[in-house]
Amino acid sequence: MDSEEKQNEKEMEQPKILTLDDDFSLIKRFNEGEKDVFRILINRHKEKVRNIVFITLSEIDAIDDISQEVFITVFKNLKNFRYESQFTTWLYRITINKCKDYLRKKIVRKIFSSVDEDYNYQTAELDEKSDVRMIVRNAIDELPDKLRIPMILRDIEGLSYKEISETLQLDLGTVKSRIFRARESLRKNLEPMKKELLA
Amino acid sequence: MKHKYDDYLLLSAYLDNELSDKEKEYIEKRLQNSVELRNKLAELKQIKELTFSSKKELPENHYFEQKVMSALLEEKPKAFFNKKWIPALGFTAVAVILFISVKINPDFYKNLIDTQKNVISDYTGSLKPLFFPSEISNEDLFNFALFEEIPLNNNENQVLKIGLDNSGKEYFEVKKADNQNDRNNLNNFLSKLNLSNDKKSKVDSLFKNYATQLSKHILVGDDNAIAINPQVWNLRKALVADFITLSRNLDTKNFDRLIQSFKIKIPQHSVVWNKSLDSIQTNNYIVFTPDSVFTSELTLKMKDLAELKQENFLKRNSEKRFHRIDFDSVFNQQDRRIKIVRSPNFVQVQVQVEEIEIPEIQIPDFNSLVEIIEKSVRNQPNLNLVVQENLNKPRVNQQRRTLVLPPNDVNLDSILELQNRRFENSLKKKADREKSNSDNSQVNSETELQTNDNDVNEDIRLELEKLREEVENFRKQFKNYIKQDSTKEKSDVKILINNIEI
Repeated sequence: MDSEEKQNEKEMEQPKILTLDDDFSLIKRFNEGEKDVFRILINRHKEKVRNIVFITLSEIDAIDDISQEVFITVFKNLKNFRYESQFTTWLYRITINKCKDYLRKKIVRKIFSSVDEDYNYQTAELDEKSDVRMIVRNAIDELPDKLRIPMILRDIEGLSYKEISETLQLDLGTVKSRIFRARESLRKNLEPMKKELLA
Repeated sequence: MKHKYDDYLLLSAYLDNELSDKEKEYIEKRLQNSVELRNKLAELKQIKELTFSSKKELPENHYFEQKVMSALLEEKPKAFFNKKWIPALGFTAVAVILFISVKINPDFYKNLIDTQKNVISDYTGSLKPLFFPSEISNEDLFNFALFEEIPLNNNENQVLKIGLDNSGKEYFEVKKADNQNDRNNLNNFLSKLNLSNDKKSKVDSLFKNYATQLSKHILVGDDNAIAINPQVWNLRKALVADFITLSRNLDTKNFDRLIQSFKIKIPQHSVVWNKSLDSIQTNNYIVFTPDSVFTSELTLKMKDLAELKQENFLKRNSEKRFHRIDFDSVFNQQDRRIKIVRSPNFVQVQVQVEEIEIPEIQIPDFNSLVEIIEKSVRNQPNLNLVVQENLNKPRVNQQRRTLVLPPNDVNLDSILELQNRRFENSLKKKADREKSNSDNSQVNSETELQTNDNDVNEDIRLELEKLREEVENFRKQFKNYIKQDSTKEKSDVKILINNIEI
């Protein structure tokens, strides 16, 4: 009975398990002309990509547009994919790069935008500050990108150091040190609100 | 310090379970011995948990792949050329194609234009003179000169009429003849002149020349197309001028007597038209077709026409003499007329439109207006101005409230004078009334009303005073102006002054 249940569970879980071979075989089929396979690839990875975009930018409005750009870039470059690394690392790298592009453009936009726009943006955020989660998120957002992104990939998205190093194209040591420095900076940022956070 | 940082770094990685077995063993040992490190680990753990807890669930987008796939389908295949060069490439390509096509086929442009002309030539191709010179009788030409009409179709009584409208613009119309002209005008005319055979042949040759010209001016084609050379107006003027000049030369005495009864419209500067007859020949025709009216340049080869004439002459002898010009296909109603207005700058086609039904307009009730007007002027004293002959001085008839004036005295001054008297009278009356009312303690409401009226009157009186002053000033200035001017002008102005009394 027990073994039967276990087997049933296994069968139910099986479709959810993404193995290396799954992505690779799909990419192969795609490169052999089965373009419809791309739909399966999107379906598999869309939520991860969207979440990475979301936590990287903390902006809901831009998520789907940037995620779409990510998959279009993947579609165009899939024929150049080398089966050396995981598809996900490659996908996340593209995602992070698209986010960085967006942030760069946003900085440029901010320089040329009026003060009023900035002000409205700030007040909209302030309304939710009572929430502990919002406090932490705002503190995370204040971190420099080079520290913030490795940390959120690890602590929120659960990527391994190796995956992060491949995604961000950094040494493993650098990833390790940046994640630590990020946590230290975040701790310092949250110091004034320590009491509220603990309460 | 460096040592401590390294330991912290290891702690962070230890928390993430990212240490090698050796590193893990090392840091666990260190943790057992150091409270500080244990605290640090707890701190880092808290931060890590806080970070994870800050994660906000993003709602799933079920249509995402749909959106991406359709966006991919919409994406155009990667351009071979850089996009910004595409317009330049387009122009270059067109230029090269044109260059090559002209090189290979020099008639390229000609063919291109010919294709466009095909539509026009469909209509103009079959055009030939409505009548040949021999078919136009002297009588027709004489009537053309006299009544500005040339018969197009005897059976239908259809004529081409040319003329001038009220604004002096030339026009022609295809219409039914208004009245049957006497068909023997020319013979009647010539019989009144005392002409020898030699002189008669001169008249004949004149008409023959014009018949040739006229045949070139009116062309008809298949499909009800008709082409008229606008110069037909000038041709008629020239014909009239030539005919009058010739017949007057032939018999001046009888001609002068005759011309009165015929009422020929002699064009001004007729001699000029006569002289420049040859130069007025142009090839521009107005072409009327069942679906359009346009101008086109047509060249008639008289040699070809001569051949055509032979052919047609035989044919036509058995047929009716004239073509039937039928515009019914264009304009449904038979009585509709088209009218062409030609001015030096444009050719205008006028089409008679149906009578417009004018909707009934609500006219205000004037009787009620009169009532309103009467009401509003009820309180105003009557003003009567009478001009009386044989009167030296203005006189006032108090009873009838009338100012009687001698004829020469009716001017602005007199009117102002009258107004002034009126107001003075009313003021006087007012003062009298106030006097009588002052004894009564109760103030009559009517009187109060009148007082107000008088205040208004006073204002008007002051304004009139002002106006009078202005008139006086103007008069002085005007007198000075006359003095300054030359004697001739002075007299002119004096006449003016005498005529207009200020």
